[in-house]
Amino acid sequence: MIAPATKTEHIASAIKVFKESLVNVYGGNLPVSDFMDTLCRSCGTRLIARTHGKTQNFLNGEGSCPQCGTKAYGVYA
Amino acid sequence: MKRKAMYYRNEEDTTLVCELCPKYCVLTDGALGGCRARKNLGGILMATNYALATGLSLDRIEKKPLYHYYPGSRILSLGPNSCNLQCSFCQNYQISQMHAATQEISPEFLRDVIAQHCAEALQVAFTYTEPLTWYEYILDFARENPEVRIVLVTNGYINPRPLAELLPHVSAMNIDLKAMSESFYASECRGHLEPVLENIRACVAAGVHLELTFLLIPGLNDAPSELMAMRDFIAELNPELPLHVSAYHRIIR
Ligand code: SF4
Ligand SMILES: [Zn+2]
Repeated sequence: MIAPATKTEHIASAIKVFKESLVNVYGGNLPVSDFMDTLCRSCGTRLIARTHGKTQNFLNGEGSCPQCGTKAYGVYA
Repeated sequence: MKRKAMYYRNEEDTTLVCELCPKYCVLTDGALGGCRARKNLGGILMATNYALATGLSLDRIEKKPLYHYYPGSRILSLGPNSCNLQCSFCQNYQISQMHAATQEISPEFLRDVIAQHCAEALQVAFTYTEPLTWYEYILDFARENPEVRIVLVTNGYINPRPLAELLPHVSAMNIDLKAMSESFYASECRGHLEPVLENIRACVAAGVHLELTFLLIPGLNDAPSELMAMRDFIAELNPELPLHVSAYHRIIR
């Protein structure tokens, strides 16, 4: 199979379609780290900040938003 | 190490049918399964790559990728030299589709390595190639080490019964959803779409922590209608299920 490599624009436009109904959509395997953070689904606060080398977790212990308390999907403790 | 394979039936005299995955390979005496992990030896199906790993490394869990499961934690990762799909775009084909060097990692040795390197979080990821073709090894390890969290990074291509037996031992999974069209799975992966969708549903129902990966290949699986079908399929299961849209890099074979 011969296909061109995926460009960041391809990922960005697919993410736009997915985000119409899905909460946690990420871009992977890209040179940029634009699509890697987790935001609160209720208030938009940044819950987890990621770069290729580092993860910063701002969630409360059990995995809820420090601003509004909404529980994030996942397992944190 | 030698281990008899699970999930197969005797057809006639020494011919066997492997029932682990939807490929149902028919194996005469001496034949190797399509995944290269199982072999008919005199009418008994053997897991010939039991405990044989292509490598062992320590990664951040984000690299699996899992983004919503113990963020920032380290996880020991290993995989077999086998896969039950044959994707034309495989990003790991040197270890999934071809013979590669392996080392023996017995379940006991694996437990020791995890205890030594991941003491703060006892967890292991079976990944890189197709862990479901390492079925007996993973199941044996999981049964003997219930305190270790088991993570699978997988194509989700397995039959319902073996999946149901394995799932109670699995803590988290990342399943590849390669496309939403049967023709893509048939022509590019030599498999079928429906078992993958069925298994994703089963994992959600079982309450395993699940994330999905979609490797976007421009022009092949990213038609707007296909993206919308994937979006709607996931949203119906749970709109919070994480989806990783991953970039395809050309591999020169
Ligand atoms: S697990 Fe391997 S041997 Fe068994 S049916 Fe699938 S590809 Fe064939
Ligand atoms: Zn919030």
